Amino acid sequence: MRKKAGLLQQVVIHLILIGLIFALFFMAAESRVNSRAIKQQIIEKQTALLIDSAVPDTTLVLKKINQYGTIDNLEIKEGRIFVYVNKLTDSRGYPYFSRYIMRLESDKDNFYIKIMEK
Amino acid sequence: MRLIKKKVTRVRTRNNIKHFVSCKRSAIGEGIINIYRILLISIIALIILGSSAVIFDYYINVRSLEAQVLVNQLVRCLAPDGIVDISQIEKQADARKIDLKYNLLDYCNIQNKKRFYVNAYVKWVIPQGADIEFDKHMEDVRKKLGIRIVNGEIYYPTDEQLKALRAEENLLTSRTWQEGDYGIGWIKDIKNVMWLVDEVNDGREITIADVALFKERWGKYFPGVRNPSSLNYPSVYAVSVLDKGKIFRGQIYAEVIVDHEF
Repeated sequence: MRKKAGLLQQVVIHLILIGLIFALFFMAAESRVNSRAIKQQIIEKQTALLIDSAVPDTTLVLKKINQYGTIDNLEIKEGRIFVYVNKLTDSRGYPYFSRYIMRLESDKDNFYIKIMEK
Repeated sequence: MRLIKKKVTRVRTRNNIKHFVSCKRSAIGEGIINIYRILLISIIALIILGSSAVIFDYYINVRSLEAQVLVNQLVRCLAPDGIVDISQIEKQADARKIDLKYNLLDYCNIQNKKRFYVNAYVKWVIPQGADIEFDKHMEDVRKKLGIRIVNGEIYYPTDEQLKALRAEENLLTSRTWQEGDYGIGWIKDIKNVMWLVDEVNDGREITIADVALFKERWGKYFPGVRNPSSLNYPSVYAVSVLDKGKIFRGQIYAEVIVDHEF
């Protein structure tokens, strides 16, 4: 009886550990399967190209809720644009080369990127 | 009776100690085996995660578009209203201590320029008979018109001879301004990469299909390119050139290579 109880205990522990490891694996894979990284890429690169080709006194408006999902946050720093979409917390950003000054503003529904002469 | 009881007690105690020791050893052994099992399961999970990361990964390449945008910005910088004011550009570059032959992007205030190679060749024709004063660039023209005589010595035309020559001919004048390393676009010249021949097709001539296959496999690292010989949107722009107060018809030939950002 003791042996059977000990064996059962071992099996339960193993199952819990395996379950934990696979739960971590599925959480990591979930972001890829939902294509959040691809949507993030699309928005970052589109916005970077728009910034690069814009002339001074242009304002780019990005809707927070759009066809690629919900943009949680948008940052412009160190010559790169970072977009966080659908609760994705990691972004490498995409560089832009525009020679003008950027200013970022936001309200409830949109992000505004204002491009101004130096 | 008492003696027997004592014997049994002693034997039971010895057996209990032995049992306890063997249980402890087996527990330690189980623990070690469990570590290996967990390690094995983790490795399997990592392999599956890694392959899913590779399978679901997709890179969107916008470098060709970036190259086109950069060409447009460059031309807008050099010819703001369609006029290239050579004197003004060179004066401003001198004032800002910028050498246009090597730091064109600095002149245009383009940032994040590590990934770029740019080359702008501005040419214009001074029509025959036009009165234009000599400057340092005329020395280049004089050298180009050098005449080799029989004993191997090169004689260059004098100012008067040059003026006389210009009276009869149109004079092509140009400036070449650039920045960056042309070598960043090496991968686009795959016909010259000999190892590709061995890898792809065992020594036969490279075909368009091989190029397509190579691009599919290595497309992530292909640079974006715009140059005067691009099939779509060749980067040749007709401009007016303002040189020493006179306007001439000219062209800008722009070449841009945008490298990957990895």
